[in-house]
Amino acid sequence: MQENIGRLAQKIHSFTLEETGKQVHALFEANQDLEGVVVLDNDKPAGIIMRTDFYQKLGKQFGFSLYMNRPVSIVMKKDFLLVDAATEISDISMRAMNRNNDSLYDFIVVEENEKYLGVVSIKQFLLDLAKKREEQIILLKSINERERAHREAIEEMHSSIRNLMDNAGQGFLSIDGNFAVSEQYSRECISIFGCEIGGTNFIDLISPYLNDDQRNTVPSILKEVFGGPEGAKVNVFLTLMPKELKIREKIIKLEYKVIENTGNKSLMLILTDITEKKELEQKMAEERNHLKLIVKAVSNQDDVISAIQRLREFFAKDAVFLLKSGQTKAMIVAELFRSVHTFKGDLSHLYLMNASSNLHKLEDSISAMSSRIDEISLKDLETFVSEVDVEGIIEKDVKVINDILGEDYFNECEHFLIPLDVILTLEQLASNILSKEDHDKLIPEIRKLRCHNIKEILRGFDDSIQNIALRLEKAVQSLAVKGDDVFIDKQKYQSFIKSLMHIFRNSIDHGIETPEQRVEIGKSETGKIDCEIKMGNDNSLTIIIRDDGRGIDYERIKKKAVEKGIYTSDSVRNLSSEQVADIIFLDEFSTKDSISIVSGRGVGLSAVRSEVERLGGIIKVKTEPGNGTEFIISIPLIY
Amino acid sequence: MSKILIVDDSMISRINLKKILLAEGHEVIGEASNGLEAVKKFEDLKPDIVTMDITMPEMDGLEALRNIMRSNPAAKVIMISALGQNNKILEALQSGAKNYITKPYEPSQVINIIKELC
Repeated sequence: MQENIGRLAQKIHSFTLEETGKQVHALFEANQDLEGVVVLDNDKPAGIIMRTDFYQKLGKQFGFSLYMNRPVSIVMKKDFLLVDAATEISDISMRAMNRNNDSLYDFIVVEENEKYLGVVSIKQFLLDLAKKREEQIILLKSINERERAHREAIEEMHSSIRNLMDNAGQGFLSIDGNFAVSEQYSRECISIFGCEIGGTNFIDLISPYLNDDQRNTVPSILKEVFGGPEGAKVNVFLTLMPKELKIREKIIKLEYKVIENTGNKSLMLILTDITEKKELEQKMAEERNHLKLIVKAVSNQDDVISAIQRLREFFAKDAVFLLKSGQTKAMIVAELFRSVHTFKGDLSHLYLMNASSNLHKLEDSISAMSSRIDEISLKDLETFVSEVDVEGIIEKDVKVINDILGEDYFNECEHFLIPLDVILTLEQLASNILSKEDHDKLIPEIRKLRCHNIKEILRGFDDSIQNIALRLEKAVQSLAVKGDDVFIDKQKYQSFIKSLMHIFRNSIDHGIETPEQRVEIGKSETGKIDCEIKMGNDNSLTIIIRDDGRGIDYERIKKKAVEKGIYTSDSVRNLSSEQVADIIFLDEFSTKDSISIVSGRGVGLSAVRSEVERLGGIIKVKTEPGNGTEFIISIPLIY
Repeated sequence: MSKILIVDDSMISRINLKKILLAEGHEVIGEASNGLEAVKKFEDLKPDIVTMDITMPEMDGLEALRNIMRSNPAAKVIMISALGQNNKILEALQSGAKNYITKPYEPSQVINIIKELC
């Protein structure tokens, strides 16, 4: 039986030499099953990029930055198996098998008339060989005289397959109708399960690694697969089998294939260890976060340093003060919770993601305490606060900064080209010496030296907004900020400005619909959040933050307020819509049942309100069901 | 092209699915928002294919499926489920459902599954 490799070739996505690593990454991200791609120089294959190789290279130090924006020609493998479409499959099997272990699993690239035709993956190649082997067995049974010769050929082929399977780094095994594992399985299975598996019951074998749900369904699914009468439906049942399991600390991908020959049905499993791939993906995500952290640390050094400083001070002073304030335990815990929640938001805004996720855990402990507040003494609370390891919380992020920017980063204080007191003196002098007219002209200019345009400050939120939208699978246009140029003293408004993040979070999480829902109701796929700045005549500043989301559902808020015991079902009926809107600013209110790292604890909006009130301002919310929500904040300007 | 009955308690889901089916040239001959209504409409309309949400008020999708299969063993029912309902899907397949779709889905998934059944 002679056959050409051309028959197996499949055309897959190809890149030109000039396209970039980023484009390859995007394609891999979008097609998780894609094992690799081909790079063409005109029509001629010039190289291949296998997924595993690609992410291994990216995972190395600076690999990400090195390969993402540069031509694929520097990341591709130039040494690959290239064969003509007319080559016989049997000729290729030896060549494919004899490749190095690290390229054993690469595509075989097929060309025809020196032009790219397609690729053959090793998995496909193996399955084809296995299928042919079965066909040959059937053929042999009918032709007795050739049996010996053929058996030899089969044995040779069998040992080739065996060799390929053993070296493929994947586990191959098959089970029969009694769920017993066949004695023929690849070596990798032993390292996956940690023991010989021939003859064992498959369900017993994997049962320790299943969750309760899977443990209940897997036996029934297998029963259907082997006993079910309909052919096509078997594959429907197979889709219910676990696709990924954690087996002995490794993450294993499982694929299933029913093999039917001469009335005997068996189920073949292909097990692939994807632990490394998962770890690499995680490492890449971490590297990206670290890069963002460094960018923030460089561009907003004062913010990063002061955020960390305020966190330290909170646990060293403010929290201690709070414990001694004589408030009820419940109020103390609520205040602790709100502060930690706000710190969490601040730090995540500055990409101190490790610290932020540590604070999330701390929040969990605090919220656990509030649920059993009666069993806890004030002493317990003191112990809890004194045991909070602030340095431990920030350690990892601080190390990232120190490693890259040097130990001096945190020792340098914020420096101005002109010392601040000089500017303040200048301002003072201006008030004393100049005429009112000149004073009014000059003062805004001097203030610009130490003040920031609030529009610029608000634009700085866009990064975090996009980030949160991505995590919640929403799409949001980049933040538009319009209106008057108002310069404010960042120091004085710092905690207020940070608290605005809660509004953005709320808009994304609760306001903006998913792209599908938006399209469905005739809105554009991408949600919109914008800010408008107005300078009032009475020296007040108004910030309007609006989104075009679903609006606030007053009925849901009322229902929730009753459930939470904020109002009784009678009193809630008499509230004006303005009063209902105010409920969302209450400490104990949240419309979401689940708690996420992004939002949902409901403390956010109450934190904004207390910041606004601290500055002597007011916050209002207006909503139009289905069309969006507007938060209107008015605060006096202080210099 | 098939005559399809859409069963789902969420109007948005029904509109969405209907749009996908119509675009492919199928005919949506009826909609039901709970199991009871589904069983009744099945008997009245005799659709070629039913798409059946699992979680619904009044009578859920599983029970409606069993009701329909009892009197119409040849009925072609596709279950629509949320993530994490594998045990329910398994039960449905054992009770005679032909296939299932997990929400959220891509239009192409729906189209392909229906194509396989025709």
